[in-house]
Parts: sequence; structure tokens; C-alpha cells
Amino acid sequence: MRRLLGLLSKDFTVAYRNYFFLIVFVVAALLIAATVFLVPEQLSTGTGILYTLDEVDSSLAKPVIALFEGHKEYKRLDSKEAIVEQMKKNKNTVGIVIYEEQEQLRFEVIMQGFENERSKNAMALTLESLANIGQLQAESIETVLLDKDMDYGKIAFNKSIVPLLLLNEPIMLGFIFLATLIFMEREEDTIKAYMVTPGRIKEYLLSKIILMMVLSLISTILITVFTVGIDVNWLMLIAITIAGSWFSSCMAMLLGSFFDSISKAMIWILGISLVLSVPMAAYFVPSFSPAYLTVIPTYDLMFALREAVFPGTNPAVMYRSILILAALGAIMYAMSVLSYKRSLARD
Amino acid sequence: MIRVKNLYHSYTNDSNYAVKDVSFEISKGEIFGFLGPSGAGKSTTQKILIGLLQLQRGEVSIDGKDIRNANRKLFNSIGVSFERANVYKKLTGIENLSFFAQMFSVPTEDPLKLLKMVGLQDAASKKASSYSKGMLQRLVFARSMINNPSIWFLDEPTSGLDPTTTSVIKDIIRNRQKQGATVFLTTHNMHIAEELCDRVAFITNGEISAIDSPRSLKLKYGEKRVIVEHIEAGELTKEELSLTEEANKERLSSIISAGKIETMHTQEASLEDIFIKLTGKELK
Amino acid sequence: MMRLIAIFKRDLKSSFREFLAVYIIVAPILFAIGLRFFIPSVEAISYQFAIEESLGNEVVQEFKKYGSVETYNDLDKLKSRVNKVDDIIGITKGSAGGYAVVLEGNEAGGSRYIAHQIINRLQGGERKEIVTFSDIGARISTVAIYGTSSVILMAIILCGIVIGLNIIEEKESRTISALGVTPMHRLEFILGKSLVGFSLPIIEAFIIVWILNMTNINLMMILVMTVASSLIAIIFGFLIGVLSSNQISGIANMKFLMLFVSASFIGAVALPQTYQRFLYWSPIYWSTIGLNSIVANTATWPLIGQYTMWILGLTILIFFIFRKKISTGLS
Repeated sequence: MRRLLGLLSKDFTVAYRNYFFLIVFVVAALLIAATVFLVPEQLSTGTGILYTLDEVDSSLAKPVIALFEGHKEYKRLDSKEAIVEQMKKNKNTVGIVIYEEQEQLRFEVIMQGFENERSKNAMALTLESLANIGQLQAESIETVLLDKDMDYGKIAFNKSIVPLLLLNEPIMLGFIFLATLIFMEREEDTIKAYMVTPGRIKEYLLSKIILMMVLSLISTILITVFTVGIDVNWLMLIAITIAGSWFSSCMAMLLGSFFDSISKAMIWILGISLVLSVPMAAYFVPSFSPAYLTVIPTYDLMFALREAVFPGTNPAVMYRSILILAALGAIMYAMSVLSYKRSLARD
Repeated sequence: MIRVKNLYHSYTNDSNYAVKDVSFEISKGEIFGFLGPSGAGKSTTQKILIGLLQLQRGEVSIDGKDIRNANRKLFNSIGVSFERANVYKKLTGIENLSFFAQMFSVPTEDPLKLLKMVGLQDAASKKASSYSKGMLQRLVFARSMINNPSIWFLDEPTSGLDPTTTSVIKDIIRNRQKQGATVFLTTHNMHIAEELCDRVAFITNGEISAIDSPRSLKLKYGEKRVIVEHIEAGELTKEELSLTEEANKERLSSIISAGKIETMHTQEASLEDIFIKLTGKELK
Repeated sequence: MMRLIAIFKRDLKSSFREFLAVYIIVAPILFAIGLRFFIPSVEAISYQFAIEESLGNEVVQEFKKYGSVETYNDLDKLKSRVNKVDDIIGITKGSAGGYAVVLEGNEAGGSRYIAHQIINRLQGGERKEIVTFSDIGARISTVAIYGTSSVILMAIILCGIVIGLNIIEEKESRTISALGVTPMHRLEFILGKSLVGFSLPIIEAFIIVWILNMTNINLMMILVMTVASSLIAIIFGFLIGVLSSNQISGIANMKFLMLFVSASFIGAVALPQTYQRFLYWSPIYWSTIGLNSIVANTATWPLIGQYTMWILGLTILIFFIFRKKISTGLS
């Protein structure tokens, strides 16, 4: 215990003198400022719909138009030409021309051209249902709700990206910091001096992990308080941050044991960071969940963070994520202890 | 105190040995010099002894304990001064020592006292990154004493130091020996070895070629010679004569009886000469 | 000229020996290959349904028209599937014999109602062909566009990093001082170092475009944009090199560089038109929109010329701001 405290005080001093704490504060401040002032509160993440009316008898189209107008992702334009022009500028849009033929409301859907068949079918189905809105509601379809009702779409956009920041900065930043620390000590060759004391590798590594957890917590707490506020599930947020930081530091540690200089490890650090950030693609498209994405531990971690920041519907994901990260971290921790012993014998 | 028997080590895990069949014993309170040129296997042997390299073949015991199943607590009684100045550059001299003091579970020395001993008291609270090479060397040396080691491994403790500091370091080593420390000194500096060591081992190409005290090595392998400067036929001549060869001995007595000697010095072989004679290699 | 080429050769050699250049060249290509597999799965995004098997094949087939379907023979398993973090809608038998829709409660807007509409159709709701489709001929999806341009940009930035690391290496081994006492002009040194930054990205950009099968885009435009963007990367490389005293601080500086690059890229892609002017100061922003428009086949030469001018202007500005730093840092 005395040794661990000694290691911790050394690692904190070294980190402080390498401006790690300052960097954490500056990056957090930049992110907070960007989130609060730069990122718009309203930003549509789904497909935008541009529609226009083409000689329509108003009574026939009224219910449909009322529906369209109540939706923030729908925008009415003057003509089909205007729609096409807008669509060319923004590829994340689809156009609809509403017209009337033989007393029947009809729709011409203008797609971008790369959309898949299923999306088209769903679009057609939705529009057909809209045209016969009375029929749909008459049906007796039961709805089973497994959890509370929660509409993430109602959260302001700049707040809704906070879980992504929490995933990216505190946890990934730890990845870079730890690698830096490890390679600095490797360059100094101080681990050899440590190895001829009664101290053990596992204590040596644990001290650095604790440092990373503290840095992550500082960053997480700052970002959360100044963007979303204090109304979050703190216990879980802290637990998840610790688990995430444990996972990423153990991974950085393991990676660090394979290389003898940071520039050699650099591309792996970047590559792995990139792979770990791929699941972010699914954040705003929750029905996008191919297996290769969900197996990446940051996928669960990302939704666990969302659950902690915006408490709502799926507490299970938090526990699962903590367990998985803790276990993966433990495996990598054990491997790094072994790998460090080996790498010491290498030169 | 330290027993090494038939030690082999290969970095490539084949018969390409960096250390071959090395055996020696060091008794308590002895200063044992391990001499050889760079790449001879000195560091490899030392690394195995201090557990930085895995023991592959042979037997090593420290303080009667086989190092294969030694507890990490053994390091409480071991001090190591590395040749490379491996200190935390972002920490000050005193912080470096205090940190290491916390790693041991035995009473430790006062860091400031150690820094004073090696003349670093003024730089004690400066970051190690601002230290010169010699200062770093002294810091590493001071660090190796933090746990009052009874077994002390010193790797080139005086390399790059000026003569005054070197003699301070030598005094410290002698003092600790008096207090009962066993010292394993790795060096290629024969003068240091000659002055400090009770016994030395010569190592080249991973093999030990001789182990003995510097004095007996000299007696055994060193040829006694005399250098005489005398006046012969009105001119000053200088001659070097062996004290063991018959012809030389006769020549010497004839010079002495002529009575025109200006200077006369006995010339002892240095440890370095003996090393070259025994191993055919220069110390570098 | 001879000296300039000698510096270029030295840089190439030392980078290859460390496998660094190999990694840095291979990395974007690997990402391009990864992207090639990623793009189709993103383009195929549709609704996800978990259907109880006992509802029969006809139901499954109908749902398959609108999304991907997983079948379950056990209601509890189906419920736990729906409860996972992604959006998937469960369909089972209702207590009254009809259908029941199982929702988690946090599904995004559209997916809540689509199941009802499909069931409605299954239950024989009247079908009128009232929807027709046309398209504006965009064959490349947004993911493909942004993916391609981000990988090209990454290749360019990585080459800048190689320059930075090479300079740090020369500083650490003090060969930079040795070069300082040769007749070599500082400009030769700078140009020699920059050659890596110019030559590699061009090769990489074409390989990436080819891997992603984007061969019908204007390759001349890609060439112009890549060369212009390389300038930014080269300046950054030099800045990292002169501002960092060792590799460790080099990495720290790179971290900030990456933050700046990714913020510019994400901003250019995600911010609405009215906010874009906040990014005009960033040369990476102009590279991003330039590359995006080329990949999307909407670029025109005047537009590319305009973006290139912005990049050149901003890069020269950055160079003048740090000119002193760079020339003192290199001596």
C-alpha cells in the first residue's frame, strides 16, 4: 500500500509536470465552449423531407399537411425545381411532391438515387397509410412497451452529443496519455531501477491506471456539469467512466509493451483509436447495428454513457458495459504484466 | 553471499551464448570486481544476478537463496547502481530518491544525506532533466544506497566522473565495505578495480579466464622488471631488464657494479597488462 | 538540387527502416479497404424487426420488404432482443388473436409506427398505388463521399506527421546541427523534407480512390486538391517538428492537431449552411468541402480554384505567422 501510494505520488507529479492536467482542463474547456456556443441546439440527424403541393384540393390534403407541418424534419418548398436544387446541396434529404388525380391524393417521391429498396418500400407504405389515415387507427393492434417512453429526439442536439464527447475525450485521451507516459519511462529506462526494488509490475501498472481514471473523471465531470448539468445518474456515470478508463488504459498498456518507441506504436495507437470510434456511427442511427459494430466494446460503452447522462430506458446496458469492460480490462492487464516481464528481458 | 555455478545465457535461445559456464563465489564483505571489455558478458551476468534477465541454465544463489524461487523481498537487501542514468527526468533529485525510498519495506536512508555524500545537495530540488551527465551518474549511485543494501551491485560507478568525485565515490564504497556490505563491481577501468577490489574476475567472450586478488594475479603473471638509467661510455642509456631471466640478471649486476647508475625503478605489471596477456584483448 | 534529393532519400530510408512509413502508407489503404466493406452495410440501413416464428412465413416475408428480420421462437428471447440498445421492433401474437408490437420505448420517431402500418397491410388493408418514385441521379451515398474524403485527408495528414517525426528524430540525434555546418541552404532542407509530404499523398489518394471504386470522378481535380491540401499537412509537420523537443511532446502536439483536423472535418460535414462561415479560417475546412464535392461529382473547376486559393492563402498566412519559429527551430 505504501508502495502504491509512492507510485501514485510519483505518477501524479510526472503527469502534472508534463501538463497532463492542464491539457485535460483546456480540452474540456474547448469542448464545453464548442458544445454550448457553437453546436446548434436544433440539428436534424435523420433524413430531411422537402415537400411541395402541386394543384391539390386543400380539403383532401389537409390532414397530411397538418402532419407534415408538425414535424421539424419536414420543410415545405414552392416547387419541384426548388426541391431538386435543395436536394443536390444536401444529400441527406428526400423530396415529395403532393398532387391530386381523380380525387385521390398522390405522391411523387424524389429520391437521391442511392437509397435501398427497403427504404423506398417503407416510404411508400408510410405515405399510403397517411393517405388513408382513418383506416390505420381503426385497427386493433396491441402495443407492448417494455420500458418507459423516452424520445431521444426531444433532447437538444448539442446536449445529445455529450455522451459522444464523454466517450471520445476522457476515455480515448487516456489512451494517448498513458502511451505517452509509458514510452517516456521506457526512454528513461527507469523501470529497470524499479524492478530491482521489492516493487511489483502489477503495482507499477496499476498506479498509472489510477492516474488515468482520475484524469478521465475530471474530464467527464467537467464536461457533463457544464453542458448537461447536474441532473444525471452520477453513480453510474462515474462507474462507467472508471470502467471505460480501466479498459482503455489496460489496452494502451498492453500495446505499449510491444514497442520500444512511441513513433513505432503511434500508428497502432491511431488505428485502434479509430476502430474504437467506429461505433459512433450508430449513435444517431440506432437501427444500424451490424455484428461487427456491436462487438466493439465502445458500442455498449457509448449507449451506457447515454443512459447515465440521460437516464431513461435501458439500465441493463450500463451494467453489461461495466462488466464487459472490467473483464476485458482485467484480461489485458494480466497480459500486460506478463508482456512487461518479457520485454524487460528483451534488451 | 553470492554463488554462481555453471551459468549460461543465450539471448537467442540457442547455443550462441553470451555467457558461457561462468562460476564464482563472493563472500560477505568482499568487493568483487568483474572486469572485461564491453560486450564481454559483464552486464548479462549482472542482469541475471539482479533478476532483470531470466536465469536460463546454471545456479545462482544470493544470501543462500536460489534466485529461481526468490521472493521480491530479497531486493530489500540489494542495491543497484546502473551504468545508464535511469532516473525520472521530470522529478527532482530528492524526489527521485524519496520515491525509491517508498518502494522498500525496510528502514531507508535520508535522501538529503545521500545527496550530500555525493555532492548533489545544491541540486537536490532541481529537476533531473537539468543535471549534467556526471550529476546523473552520482544520483544513480546515491539512489543505490537508499535501502542500506548489504549486497551492492555497481555498474561502472565512476565512468565520466572527474578525479575528485571519483575518489569521493571510492571512499564511499570502501566505507560501506567496512560496514559489512558485499560489493559486485562491474567495470572496464582497471585502476578502480586494482584499488578497490579484494578479488577480480576477468571475463571475455562470455567466459571467465581468471579469478584472484589483484596482488596474486600480478605475482603470478606479472614479470618483475627494472628500468635503469646509467652512464655507459660517457652517454646516458636507458635499459629495461627482467628480474627473472638469467641473462638480464647478470646484466643488471654488471651495471650495478659499474656504479654509474642515475635512476633505477622496479616496474610492476599493471592489471591491464595482465588482462591483455591472459586474454589477448584490450580493455575498451 | 543534389542535396535536396539527398535529404529526401535520407527521410525515406529512415522512415522505412523504422517501418513507420510502411505503416503510415499502409494505414489509409487498410482504412479504405475497411470502408469498402462498411459503406454497403450503412447504405443498406433499414428498419429491424424481431418476429415470433409462430406468426408464419408469410408475415416474415412481408416484413422483409421493409427491413431486416430476425425470428425468435420464444417470447422472452424476443423481448430481451428488443431490449438491447439498438432499435429493433418486436412483433408477436396479441392476446386477442391479432398482432402485438413490442417496443422498448426509446425508438426513434419513424420506427414506432412502421410496424403498425405493415400489420395493417397484412390484415388486408386496402392498397392503392398512389406513390411513384424518381431520383436525381446521385449514385454515391453520403457515407461513401465523407468516407472517401476523410481517408484521403487522413493519408495527407499522416504524411505531414512523418515530416514532423523525421525532424524530431534529426533534432534528437543532433544531425540537424551537423547539417547546419554544411553548405546546405535552409530552403533546400525545407524542400527536401517536404518532398515526402508531396509525393506520398498523391500516390495514396489514387490508390484510395481506386480501392473505393470511385474511378469515374475527376482525377485531375483530386490531384489538385491533394497537392493543395498537402501544403497544410507539410506546414503542420514542420510546426510539430520545430515545436516539439522530443517524440513525446511531438505526440502531444499531434493530439491537438488531430482535434483541429477532426473538428474542421466534422464541422464542414455536419453544420448547417448558416454556421459554416465559422469554419472559413481553417484550411482543412476548404480541403474537406473540396474533396467532398469532387467525390460527389458536383465540383467545377472554378469552385476547385476558389477552394485552392483559400487553402493557399491560409497556409501562407500560417507560414508567415510561424516563419520565425520554423527558421529558428531548424537551426
